[in-house]
Amino acid sequence: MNKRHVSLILGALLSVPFTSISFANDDKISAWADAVTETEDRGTSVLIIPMSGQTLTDIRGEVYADLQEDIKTLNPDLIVIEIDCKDAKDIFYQQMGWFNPKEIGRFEGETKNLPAVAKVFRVNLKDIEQVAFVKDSMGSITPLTLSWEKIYMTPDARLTGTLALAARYSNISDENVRGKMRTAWTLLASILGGYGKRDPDLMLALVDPEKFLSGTWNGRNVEWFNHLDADFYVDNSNEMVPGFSATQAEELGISEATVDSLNDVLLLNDIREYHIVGEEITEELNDYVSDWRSNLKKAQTLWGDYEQQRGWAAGEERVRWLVKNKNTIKSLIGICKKYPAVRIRMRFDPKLQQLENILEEIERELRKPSTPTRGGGGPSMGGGGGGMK
Amino acid sequence: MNYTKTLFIVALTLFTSLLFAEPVTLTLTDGTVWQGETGNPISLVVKKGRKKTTVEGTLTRNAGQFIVVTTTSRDQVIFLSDIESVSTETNSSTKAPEEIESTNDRAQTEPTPKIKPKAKPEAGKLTKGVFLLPLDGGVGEIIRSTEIRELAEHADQYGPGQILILDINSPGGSVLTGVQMRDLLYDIRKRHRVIAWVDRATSGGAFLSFCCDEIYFRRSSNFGSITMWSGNFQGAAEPEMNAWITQLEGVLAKSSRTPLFAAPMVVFAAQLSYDIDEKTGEITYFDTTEGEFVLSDGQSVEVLSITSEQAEHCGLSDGTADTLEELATLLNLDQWEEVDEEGRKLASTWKVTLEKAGVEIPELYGEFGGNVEARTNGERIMKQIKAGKALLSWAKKLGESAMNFGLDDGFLGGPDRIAAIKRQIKELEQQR
Repeated sequence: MNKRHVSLILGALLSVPFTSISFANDDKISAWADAVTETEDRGTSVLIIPMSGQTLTDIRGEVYADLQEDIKTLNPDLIVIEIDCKDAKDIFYQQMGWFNPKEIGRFEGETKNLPAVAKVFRVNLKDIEQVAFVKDSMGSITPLTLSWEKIYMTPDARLTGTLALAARYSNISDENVRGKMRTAWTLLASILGGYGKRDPDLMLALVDPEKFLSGTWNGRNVEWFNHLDADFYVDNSNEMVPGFSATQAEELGISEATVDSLNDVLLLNDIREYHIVGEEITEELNDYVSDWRSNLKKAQTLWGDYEQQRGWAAGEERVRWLVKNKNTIKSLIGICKKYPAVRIRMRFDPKLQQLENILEEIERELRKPSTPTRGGGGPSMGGGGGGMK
Repeated sequence: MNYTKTLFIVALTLFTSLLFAEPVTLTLTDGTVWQGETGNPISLVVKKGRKKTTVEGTLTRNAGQFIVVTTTSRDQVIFLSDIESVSTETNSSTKAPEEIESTNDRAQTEPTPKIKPKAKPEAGKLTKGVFLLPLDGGVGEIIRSTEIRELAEHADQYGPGQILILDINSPGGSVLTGVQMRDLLYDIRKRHRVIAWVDRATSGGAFLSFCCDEIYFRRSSNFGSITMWSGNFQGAAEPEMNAWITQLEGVLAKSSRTPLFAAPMVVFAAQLSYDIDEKTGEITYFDTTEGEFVLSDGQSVEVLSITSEQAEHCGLSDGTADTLEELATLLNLDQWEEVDEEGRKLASTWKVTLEKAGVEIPELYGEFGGNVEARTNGERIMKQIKAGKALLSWAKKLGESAMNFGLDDGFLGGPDRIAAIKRQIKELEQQR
């Protein structure tokens, strides 16, 4: 029996009895959820905060921070954070490699992004009751997902750890430096998990592939350990991070319940009547995602234009295309400044120095006198002569 | 106070039910026809397997395939196929032999149905109809999601509970497209009954069939061999193959079929046999050869592929039908009656488009690359640009199938060939 078999058997042991229990619960919830009614203005006021897509681009601290005061003013009774972050559509797509690597959740060098999101909700808006409704939490988002104490998962949702933090230090050859960086990066998970009162050992195992994860039941709760000596283990590999299905997460006390809909979430929070508030806030967040993504396309086109036009800036057309390129790069800088997500996906440096250097180079070229041409665009004569167009 | 309130609610319910009473005709499986209306108190004998129960209550809804009876404790959904008898105080339960005979006659004398488009139902009224979509060709190459999605959207206009028949004749194809269609079919199954009626359904064709609610064979059908392979007929690596088997098991389970069919249809070393209980007809499957009937002994060099007879015997198929009328009977329909020809139209339009694309696109690539007749350089460039723009137009028209013609738009992070064509057009415009 190899490692794979052990984890499979454990997975089966964990999931089989739990599945039947959960299904029974699901049926009850589905039947009861009909008793939850959405009204125009009666009952609990609920604000929906979408948190979908890719960490660091779709999910950015400043985007939520910008809306913080509006949320405070709105003062809803409950905030429901709808988390839907998937690296691949489902586990099979993942196994087959059918996903766009550019869309995988990221940390890059920005350690502060996810804590900034957590700070908005878990610190600055802590007086407002909050729950997370998880449709999928794959990879980088998971430490943030677990910063909410109460999470509810749909039956197909997954809650998986991430290797993205380990990627930041795994190639460092010096053991001391590597150890230092490992602590610095993986601490992020414990910090985020702290907001949700999560066990630090659970959080560490989700981001550090070298950590094991086992658990022991203590009443209805599980105490987690980064060794293999507890009652059961979920991760005995020092190369991988664990992941939980909705059923497993529920049975291991990580999620509150497995739910089908928002109504189920509300019902489980004793809400029978509710109305949605702050739709403009929800819309603004959705708009941000579509805006930066359409600007990414623009930026890609602009960069392509720049590269193409660079080849055209010669002879009589030289100045024309240099000027055009100057404007192209300026537009690109404008977009990247407005949308850091675009800058990240375009792989430009944080200060946009690369683009600024190009701009300077173009301006230097423009200051040079134009090269005269002979006989309708012949070879360059070099030196001065000719005027600027 | 409570008594008054209850009385008021009862009176209101009665008033409402009388106000909105609708005539209902129920045709039971034995041909018995019951006529009444919503709001009638009725008594039903319902048979589930061997168990018979009597349900008494008020008929509150007729949804075609099922009715809703409000009993003292709850609303009960009862499928017509489960009803053995129905009676009421104003019972008009009578045999209507003439009607039944005439129905059967139509079925026998009209092998090719003349389709009269049905009017879309009025709001609040549910009707049930059949929509047929011929799916003939390679999965991903010819068979794709668009037509299925469009037909389902069309059927949606007639309300939930429609019957969508995928008439599958496919040698297989792209696994990715198959899995994408899986998600689409699961979604459609939430609101309609999706049927696979197979002719040849090997590999991707079989996978697609497994994604449907029910599978019916033709006598000449061949079904199975869902092994995954890539270029040069190389089988997928073991982890991918195992993932594929697991995927297939999930699909089979979703349609209440034994997941044990999965492995033998993917790898020849897997075994499958079954026993049939003589008394109950219940089938027990084994992933060994211990069953009386062996489908895969794990020794043969062929992965499992089965005929209609085997499929019906081992419970993989829900029946065998060579004609539309035979299929109608198996589907428990009075007669074969398609709502309209939307599915057939979608299939033939797509076939024509694809044939045209197959001829035009290679020519356009050539022209775009400079293979054009021109008297001047300017004319040549103009023709190249025109061809490039025509390729972009084809990409739009082909949608999800554009990638089969090299017109990808950066799918799964791959190269964006559309952007490259646009860039090349700009280059040509600059040269002009």
